[in-house]
Amino acid sequence: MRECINALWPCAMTGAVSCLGGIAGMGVIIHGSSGCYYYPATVLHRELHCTFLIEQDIIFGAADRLRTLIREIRDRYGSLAVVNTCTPAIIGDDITDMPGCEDVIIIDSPGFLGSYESGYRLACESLPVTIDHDHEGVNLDGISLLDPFAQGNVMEAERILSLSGIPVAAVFSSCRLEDLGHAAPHTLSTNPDLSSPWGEPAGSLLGIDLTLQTVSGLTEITRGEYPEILQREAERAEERISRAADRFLRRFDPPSAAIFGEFSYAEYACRVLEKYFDATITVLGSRNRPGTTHFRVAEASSLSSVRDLLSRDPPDLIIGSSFEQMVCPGAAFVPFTYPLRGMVRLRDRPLIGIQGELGLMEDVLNACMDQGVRTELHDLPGTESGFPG
Amino acid sequence: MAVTDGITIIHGPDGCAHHTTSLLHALQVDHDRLFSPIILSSSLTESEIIFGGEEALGKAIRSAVARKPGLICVLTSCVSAAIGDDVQSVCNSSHCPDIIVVPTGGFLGGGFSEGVEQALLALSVLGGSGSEPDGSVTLIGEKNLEYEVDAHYRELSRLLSLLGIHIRLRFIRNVSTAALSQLGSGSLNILRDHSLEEVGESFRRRFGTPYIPSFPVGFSGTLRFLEQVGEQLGIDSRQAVKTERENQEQLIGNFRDLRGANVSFYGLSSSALPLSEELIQRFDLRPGTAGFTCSIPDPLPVGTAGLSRMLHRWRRVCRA
Repeated sequence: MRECINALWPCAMTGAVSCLGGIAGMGVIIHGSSGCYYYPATVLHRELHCTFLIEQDIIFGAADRLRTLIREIRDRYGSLAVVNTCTPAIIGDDITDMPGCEDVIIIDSPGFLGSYESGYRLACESLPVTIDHDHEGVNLDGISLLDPFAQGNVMEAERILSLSGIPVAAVFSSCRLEDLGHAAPHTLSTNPDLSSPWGEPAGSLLGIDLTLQTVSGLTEITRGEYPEILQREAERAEERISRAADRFLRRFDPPSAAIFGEFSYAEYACRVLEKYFDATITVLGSRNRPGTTHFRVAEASSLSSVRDLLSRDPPDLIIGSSFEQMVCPGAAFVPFTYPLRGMVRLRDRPLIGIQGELGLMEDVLNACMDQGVRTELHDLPGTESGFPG
Repeated sequence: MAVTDGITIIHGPDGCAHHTTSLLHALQVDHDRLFSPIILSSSLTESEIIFGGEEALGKAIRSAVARKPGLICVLTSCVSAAIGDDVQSVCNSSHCPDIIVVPTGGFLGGGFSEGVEQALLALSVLGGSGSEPDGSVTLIGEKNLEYEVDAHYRELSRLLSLLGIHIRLRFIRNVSTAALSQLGSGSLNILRDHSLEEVGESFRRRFGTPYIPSFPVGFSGTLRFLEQVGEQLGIDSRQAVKTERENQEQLIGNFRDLRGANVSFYGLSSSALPLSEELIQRFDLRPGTAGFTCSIPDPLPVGTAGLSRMLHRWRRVCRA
């Protein structure tokens, strides 16, 4: 068994709640203790309900308390979902077959079952989705409340698709409950680690290249016109990034970078840095089970593993969470994955599409330039304070 | 987890350890601290749920011991409590002298406050070095998850300095294991709030240390606090009270633009009622449903400085 010091990534229960909590009109009940409720309620910023189990409920059965709560709140929502937690799952309380609660969605994803992603996907599979084969739009998936890019990604996807005249149908998981009843037959991915089973996969928007490919494929499906304006925007964006990266590389060496996050996001960032910067990737630290890649990859779901990875090969640049920033305070840092503490972030930023790639490289270039200038100033004699005269 | 050279083992799934890691990290970073307490998870999974988690705990303890910490605390979770692991026996058989079991049991061991109480009582076994009371103060049970925790500490330090007293031990916040032995050698314990009175009583019985049951709240409460500390320590508090009263009057003057304002209190808890009444009277406020909506934070603002910060936020709302 691996050693886990300071676990950095939430459990399956939180994953399920983050999926369900994104559906407006769906009431989410955490069937567990105040401790299990407090964490998702704090980090997801959604109204959640909880049975707030106490010891007595475990002795005499917790189903009654759940039934009571369901009765109390059901009129407020179009649909209700219950996420089971560790202790009721262990004692084997049967909550799947409660009389009068047949329409309630039950997600059995106690924390001990596994990862955030597995809980999210389990909940996503259980959503009350009906595919409307006449819908002319596409669905989005991979949107999660925990993701700092979630809202920005939805906005960027809507913007890009609107250029092709394609509306967005259901968003898994950030839409109204009624949108789930009219989901489109095709789905675009924004984060392959959180893919949904709904609709035919129609490509990904993670990166400029994939975005163009995907939009091209979509226009074939919908028999629409390929938006030349998107092509021009993409070309301009790549030129702008290349120019800025060239300017940086005239003065500084390419940074060595360690990138942390969910596998698909982190792998995308590795590719972008290699493409524009010729950067050396010291490690791709994956919060979840890593997929296949040519980059050096390791699981990084505990602070001890992050420390090991960063001390083995200290990078110039870290793209990750405030955990990594804390471990390596001297490196240039780009905020990329949950949690992002000790900083204020108010603006919705995308990671996908054209604006996503521009935003990522903007953050990387600014962080590396600041770091490079600091190092230069430090190395120049007589410039301990202020700019060189 | 606020023992700087300690390791906490959470005997439960990684997710439980993450909840705590994440909340503490948020506060540490907010306070510009790059220190992260070590929280080791025994990583219970479905397999341990079926076959028992004692072996996993033994492994986690060995891993902690290898790091040579000053102290190891083992916290039980609801999962380990539900499957019935004999945690004390596993810890006894580890032959590690510096290991303390805190029987929290997740929600099976009670609520948040009970967990805090259990931890304070469990770690008090390290106190009582036998030395005579030294005139200093010990803070008991500061809320480590409270965003303003260090601001409250600064306010307590300021108020006590008016009496010429210093805080020697923060039981338990950012202290080493060795420093915990000072518990019992202070002359007065100040509890964070009334929920810790059983802990205060327990320490009074064991170490003979008197206690004040809560950090100071409100203008008059802060002055009364100074008087109480003076009485307990046999110090004439009149000058300190006079100085602080002048400080409060100046503060009230700084917020004179709030005087006579129509206000409606939002989400007022019963514990905040006396404070709201004092503020209504001091500022001649007109409570009702009209006017600007103001709230009193829970936990309540500590001391005069806490009130000042709250009044700034009120003024922001008033001007909006």
